[in-house]
Amino acid sequence: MAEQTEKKRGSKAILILTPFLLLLLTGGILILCYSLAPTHRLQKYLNIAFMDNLKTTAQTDGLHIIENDISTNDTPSETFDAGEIIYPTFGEQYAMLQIESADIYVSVYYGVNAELLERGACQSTQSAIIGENPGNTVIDAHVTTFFSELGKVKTGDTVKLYTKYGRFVYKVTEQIEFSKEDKRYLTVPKEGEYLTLYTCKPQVLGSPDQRVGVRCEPVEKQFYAQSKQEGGTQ
Amino acid sequence: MSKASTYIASVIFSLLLIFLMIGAALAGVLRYCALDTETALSIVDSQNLPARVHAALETNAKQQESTTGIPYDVYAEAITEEQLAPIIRDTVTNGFAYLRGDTASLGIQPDFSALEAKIREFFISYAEKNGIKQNETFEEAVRSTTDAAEANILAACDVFRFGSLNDAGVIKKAKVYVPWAGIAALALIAAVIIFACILFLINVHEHGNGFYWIGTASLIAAILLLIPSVWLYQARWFDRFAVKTDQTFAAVTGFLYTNTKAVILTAIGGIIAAIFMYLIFGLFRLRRHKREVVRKAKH
Repeated sequence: MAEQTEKKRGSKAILILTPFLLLLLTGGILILCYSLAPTHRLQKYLNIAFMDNLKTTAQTDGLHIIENDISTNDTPSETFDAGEIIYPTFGEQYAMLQIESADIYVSVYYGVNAELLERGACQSTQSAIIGENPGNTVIDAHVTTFFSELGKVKTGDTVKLYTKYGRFVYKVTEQIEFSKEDKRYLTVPKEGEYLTLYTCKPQVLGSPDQRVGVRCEPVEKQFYAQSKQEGGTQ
Repeated sequence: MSKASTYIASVIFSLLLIFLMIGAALAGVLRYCALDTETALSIVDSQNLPARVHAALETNAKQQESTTGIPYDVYAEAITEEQLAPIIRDTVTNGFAYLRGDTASLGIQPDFSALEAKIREFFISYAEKNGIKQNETFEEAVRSTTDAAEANILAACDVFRFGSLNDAGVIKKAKVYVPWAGIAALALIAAVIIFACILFLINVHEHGNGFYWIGTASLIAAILLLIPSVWLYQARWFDRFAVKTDQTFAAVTGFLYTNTKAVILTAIGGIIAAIFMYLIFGLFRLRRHKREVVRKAKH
């Protein structure tokens, strides 16, 4: 009789514990699969698509503009030719653009939309982050505001970009004019590093079909910190 | 089969059943919720996308006033929320049809005759006031302005950015897998049924135990789906979405939350099914207990 009661108690314990055992086994297998599966590429895309760590709430959904205080004067005593890039979020003012020859000094926001274009120059999210190699950093602004003097920039002029992670000096190599349908200056190159600045070509009436600007190549890169993965050369 | 081997076999098949149930639930939500045009169309209404698109176009047109010389009023009457709503719905419907391979081309051609007439009217009035000849150059300016306005409207109405995704080659890749979603969902559901039958067969001498194992598998699969989904939903994780263009942000996050809700509801369904299975298992045990009591009383 006592043996039977003991057996029944054991059977009940198994019935209760089995779901926990299965939960542990399944959880363990899932964690193992996740750690072994080659998800780094997917992770990279997810990190880009859902990069906004600050988040917006339902009450403030939409654009989250971040203003930064980017110094154009103070450079750290030690800088590097290659180094750590700090990726901006959409709507973040992450650089200052300076072209002394045309008296252009403007904030650069990451992402392009009407609200950001009202505040400064905008960088296409499909283009390379400043300092990335290979890549083409594409920045545009309205011809009626921040890039009204872009037409004055000539081949050989110096363009400076200041960010929180470094300062970058470019030389204008080409003055460009292209149709708005023509993407050749806006695409990502397989090799080489470029900076493309453009705006609309003004006309008396109607939507401008033509774009004008300059194409630049880097002449000096000063990163403030070495890359964690690759290291940099001083 | 000894009791120990029956138990081990039941654990193994329950484990496999859990993964099949998770797969079937996710494939089912993908096929019957995420890829269903109605889900995306419900977002158009719930997120009030026509108003958001209208506001974006208004800002854009006002900003362009100084560049184009065309006052916002020219567009205002021709682009109302009521006119934008069907364009957004058609763009979404066409995008999903293209993704599923139901249509060969991406993009729609709405009737912009009212807008075209307004722009032409403005140009003619401007030309008359300023003594500009209405020649080929004039016609070219009207055409390019109309084209630009239409392209802007279509781009703003493409709230899920099908155009950009297509240009980036993402849709081309997705189209390869999309037709398999329905097949995968059905295959996984069939596999769930087969594995459930196997569990009944393993426990053929104790029919009630089959319900216990299926209930347990269903409960664990539901928990494993429920915990991350509830976390994603409650933490508003998708608000991290990088593209903050108002209408796209609202459409994409609304779409992702709707699908997360579908996973949560499926998981709750799994928990209810598990409770139901446990109840049947309890009834079987009760009946067996009663039979034993009667047998002992007879002896």
